[in-house]
Amino acid sequence: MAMLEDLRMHKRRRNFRRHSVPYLFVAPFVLAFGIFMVFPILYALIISFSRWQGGNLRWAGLFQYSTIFSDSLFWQGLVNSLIILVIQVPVMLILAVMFAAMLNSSRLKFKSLFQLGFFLPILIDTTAYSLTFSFILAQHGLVNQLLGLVGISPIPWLTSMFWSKVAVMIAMTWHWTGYNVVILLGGLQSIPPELYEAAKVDGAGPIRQWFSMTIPMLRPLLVLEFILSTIGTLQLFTEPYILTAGGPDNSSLTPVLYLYQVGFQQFHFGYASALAYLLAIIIAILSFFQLRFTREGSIL
Amino acid sequence: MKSSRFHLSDVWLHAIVFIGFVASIYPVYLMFVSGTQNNQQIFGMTPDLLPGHSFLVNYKDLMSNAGFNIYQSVGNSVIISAVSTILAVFLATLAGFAFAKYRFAVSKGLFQVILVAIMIPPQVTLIPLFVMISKIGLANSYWAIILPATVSIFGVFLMRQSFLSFPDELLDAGRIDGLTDFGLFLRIVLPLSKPALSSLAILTFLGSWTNLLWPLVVLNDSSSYTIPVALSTLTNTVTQPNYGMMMLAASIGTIPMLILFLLLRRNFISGIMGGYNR
Repeated sequence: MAMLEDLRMHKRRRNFRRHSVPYLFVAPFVLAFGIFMVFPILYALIISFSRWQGGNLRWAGLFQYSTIFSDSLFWQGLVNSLIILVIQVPVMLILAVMFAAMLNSSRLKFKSLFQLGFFLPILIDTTAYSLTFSFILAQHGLVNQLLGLVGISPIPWLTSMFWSKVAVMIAMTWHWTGYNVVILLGGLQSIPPELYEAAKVDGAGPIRQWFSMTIPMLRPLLVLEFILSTIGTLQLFTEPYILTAGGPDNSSLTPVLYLYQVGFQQFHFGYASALAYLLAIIIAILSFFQLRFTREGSIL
Repeated sequence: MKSSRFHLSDVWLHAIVFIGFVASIYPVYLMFVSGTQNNQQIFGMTPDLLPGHSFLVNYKDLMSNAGFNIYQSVGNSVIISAVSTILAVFLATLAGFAFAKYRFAVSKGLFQVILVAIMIPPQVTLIPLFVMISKIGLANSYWAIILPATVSIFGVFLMRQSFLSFPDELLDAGRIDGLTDFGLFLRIVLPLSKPALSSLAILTFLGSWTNLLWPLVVLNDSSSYTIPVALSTLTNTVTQPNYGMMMLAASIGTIPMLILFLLLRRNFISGIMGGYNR
């Protein structure tokens, strides 16, 4: 009898241990998640409804949010990002698909060397490459020197309201194309070669194969890259901060750069938090629509 | 069988890839070379592609006038990125394993909360985190950067996804052999999940290494600067900056990542590919 009791006890203890295991496994993450994510997210909401004065919060209701609507700087920043988004992301993704396909081609020699070259920009940290581009694109920098060789007069990349956005786009494209190439290469390599054999047997030429097999197979990855790039562009900070400081005349100001100026140069914590929340909502809406459209197949 | 036929389209293929290749590596080459040149050379009438003679001058300038010690910044960056990565990967892996292989009371709800949180961009927590970190006196410390970086929601997703296909038979076999759950995790699950682990580690490390905004906000003491923060201060000059010195600093700051890449080349490429191709 005693033995049976012992066994039962043992089993119960084991069961308890078995049941507590998943909680113990998630506990460290949940603890950090609660302290450094959930709490700040809620705290930010409170700050955004307040005025921050000398370390004290004063309830201000929707004051901060209502201020945003007449704040042309924020909207200008948003428009700047949207312009960059609409031009840079498609150009980059088209380049990435193109180069990924070429780098995957069986006819390409020195393949691994070329792939390494495309990989290199990923390893250069954003500040370092932005600094490098700040003199590549300077008035007497490399790009203008090269343009001079073919008789084009220097372009004021960093000092004109039009070209400053282009400068940011060039730097971003340089850094991120390789990253997307690598992801797409992974996708291309996971397409079974038998599929191409079969397509060839069925009489599909390379162009037909490309559009009715390769692109559809890459679609999920392209959608992912498209959404990640959109989110990344709306959160753009380092490139404009280093290259142009948002100038000239706020022509390359971005929402996050503006948020940084408001929060940490003017120390308007309440307003900066409201800006952050509005940006979060805008990003959520855009991602939602992108998912919607891409699922219905009207974009990709 | 290699075909020896000559295709015109092959020439085009190699020409276009070569242009992309040069465009990718040239700015990096320029960064290193400019570190040895002075402003006259960098902005000369014809592009100067060879190393110059100003390395020592630039180096002296960097050591005495930059306002920070570049080697200290490299050290800070290495420590912060390494510790953040280890902690973030460890927490995400444990949690991802629990979400993939156990059913427990709050698992669904918890996972949904985490799903919602991934939608919220990190800028939202910028100000509250700054207030928190300042209040507990951690500003200018390694922990100011490391602690918030331990939360990798992407990591939980990635690891959960890779554990979903982990064979249950292996776990059962381990249980029969008397391993505890943590033992199973440590001795069976982790060794067999190296690709996903290295994928997450590399993506986390790259992200931490290149992060500017948050360190810029909480690190105000030049001895605590990470490389991006240190480099960003070099643009705050009134006169024309010494670009050679700037590029030398950027080059020194880039070298650790290049070394790491050379050591782990395979893992890097398959890591980035694998992080998204799941």
